[in-house]
Amino acid sequence: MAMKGERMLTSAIVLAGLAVLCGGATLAQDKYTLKVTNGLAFSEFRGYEGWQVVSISQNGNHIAAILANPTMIRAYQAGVPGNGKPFPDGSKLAKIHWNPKKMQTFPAATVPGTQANADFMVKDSKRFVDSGGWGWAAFEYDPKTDTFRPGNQADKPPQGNDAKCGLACHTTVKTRDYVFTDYAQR
Amino acid sequence: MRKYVAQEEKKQKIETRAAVERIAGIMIVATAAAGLAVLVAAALYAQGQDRDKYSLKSPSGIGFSDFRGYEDWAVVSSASTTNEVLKVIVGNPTMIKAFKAGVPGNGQPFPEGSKIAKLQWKPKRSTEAPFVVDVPDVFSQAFVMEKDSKRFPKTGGWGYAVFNYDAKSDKFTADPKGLSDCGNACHTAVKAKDYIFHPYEKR
Repeated sequence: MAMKGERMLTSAIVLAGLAVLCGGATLAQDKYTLKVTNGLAFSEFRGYEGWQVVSISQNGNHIAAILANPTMIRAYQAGVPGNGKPFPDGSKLAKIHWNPKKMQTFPAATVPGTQANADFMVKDSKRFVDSGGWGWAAFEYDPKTDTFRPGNQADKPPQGNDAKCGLACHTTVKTRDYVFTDYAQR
Repeated sequence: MRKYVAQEEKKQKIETRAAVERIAGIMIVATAAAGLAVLVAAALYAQGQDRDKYSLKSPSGIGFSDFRGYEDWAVVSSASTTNEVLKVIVGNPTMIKAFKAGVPGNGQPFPEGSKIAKLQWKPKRSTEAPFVVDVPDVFSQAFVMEKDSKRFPKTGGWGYAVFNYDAKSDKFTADPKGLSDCGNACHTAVKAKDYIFHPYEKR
């Protein structure tokens, strides 16, 4: 009888453990299910976390890292857009913004604090005919809930219900195929 | 006699034409060879630049070639100091994999073969962006670290080196002393994090 009770207790613990694991899995957000209304899906940029660095930038409000997929990095390294050629279809660029903070262990340095957002652009000259061949999307990050959401008009940069909201700003660098960022030498 | 002269003229014409053709042929070959030479020279020059850079050795005994390919590594983090330097920290695949597995926060050290590079640029104010922002201007330095416990037993298993870049001459040089000396002395402040200041930033 004692043996049986022990076995039941073990089963209960295993079941409870499983429930915690499953609960944990459903609680975490899958950011790749997000999509801008009438715009781009987050999943179109799957894997951006490991992309190579194009450049970095900072102002008082944000620290940014600009990353690109292999297609776009190859184009940069071949001289695009300085050589007058456009980026090829399939080029993808990600700009990660962080809120800056002083580094605890080395206070002279300003380093990324919490993430602020992830902004993207993708080249598809057939799909984005009326915005220079580029589609844009911005996803805002909330560190408190550890979740992303599609940006809106109140955000910086503003995100409309489409994929061409970036054109308004990026049109100033039309001669560089709408891309602000240079590939930083290293 | 006249017939002979005419024959001679004809012969000379043929010889002249043959000579001209021969010269033209030589010219084509020479042009092609020159073109090829230019191409080969350009390729060798590009290779030479890389060879120059990767033949450098720091006073700490660490070769730049240990970090071959760092230009393409993935981002760990980014930083700036007092508006004078913009930095990006990149890691080799071994190091990135360890970061993603929770090192050093999980108490585990980075594995042997981990390599990390801090690339530094002088900043400039962007003249194109629709808002105020500083972006990289000229590249200035590559700070590098590699984990090899057998090779660097006295400094927590890490070897340190600094390679400076001069934009005017487009050349790298191994930093003679000061900066590479800091390595272990400075990084001891974060010994508990296996001597690495920067965490892998969320993105």
